[in-house]
Amino acid sequence: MKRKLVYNRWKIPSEEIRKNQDFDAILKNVHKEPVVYWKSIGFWGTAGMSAVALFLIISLS
Amino acid sequence: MRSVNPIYHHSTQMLSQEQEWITKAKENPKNFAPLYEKYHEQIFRYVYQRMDDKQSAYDVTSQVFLKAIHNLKKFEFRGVPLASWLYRIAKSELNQSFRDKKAKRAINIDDIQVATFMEVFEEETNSINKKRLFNALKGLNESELQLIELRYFEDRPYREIGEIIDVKENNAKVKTFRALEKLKKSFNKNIRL
Repeated sequence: MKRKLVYNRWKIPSEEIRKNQDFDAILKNVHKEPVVYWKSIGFWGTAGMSAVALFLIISLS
Repeated sequence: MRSVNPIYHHSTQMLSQEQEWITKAKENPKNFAPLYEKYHEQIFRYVYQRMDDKQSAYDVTSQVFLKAIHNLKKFEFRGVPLASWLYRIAKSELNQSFRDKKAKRAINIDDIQVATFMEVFEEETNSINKKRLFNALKGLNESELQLIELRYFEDRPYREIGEIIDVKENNAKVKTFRALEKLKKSFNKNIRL
């Protein structure tokens, strides 16, 4: 990893950092996160259909 | 004597208040708000100390809190402030950001910190010694640099360092001492600059 030495950098005041707080934006991203596949309707739909099909095959044969 | 960071170290009452916030935040991410307000500045300063670009530091800080909210269910309260866990997430997010953006890892140092090292090394503060120190710092590996930063740049007590790097206080002390010894050795090697 490359390194850069920064000397005597101006210290950001606390007020400026506070102004950049945005918890709502973080919450929005929390809700935006994709659902894990095994928790999705698609997964359970496919799994359910497969189970029914398997059951029918076994019971009819 | 080094003072204890009052924001980081809590009374029993403050710790139980924090535990209550964590429990509520596990039920609903909206309840993470007081923890975000409490630790945002600390985490931002930790991140920005290691980065060159301010906006990137704000982005990484947001990413730290997003990760924390996502993984909060896995968090187990062990009687230490949530900050130690947040610092560990911050470290991992920083490394990810350095890899993705191929950005340089920054080492921020000022006159006061240079003077502290010169006092420890029993050397005079002048431009040659400053250059020797900068070269020596660049020669440390990541974990040694992290210990030097936590102790000598950010002025943290060993107890807090131990909680951040997830080792016992004594172990943190030994590791920091070794990192300082290595820095000193490297500083003395650069004598011909």
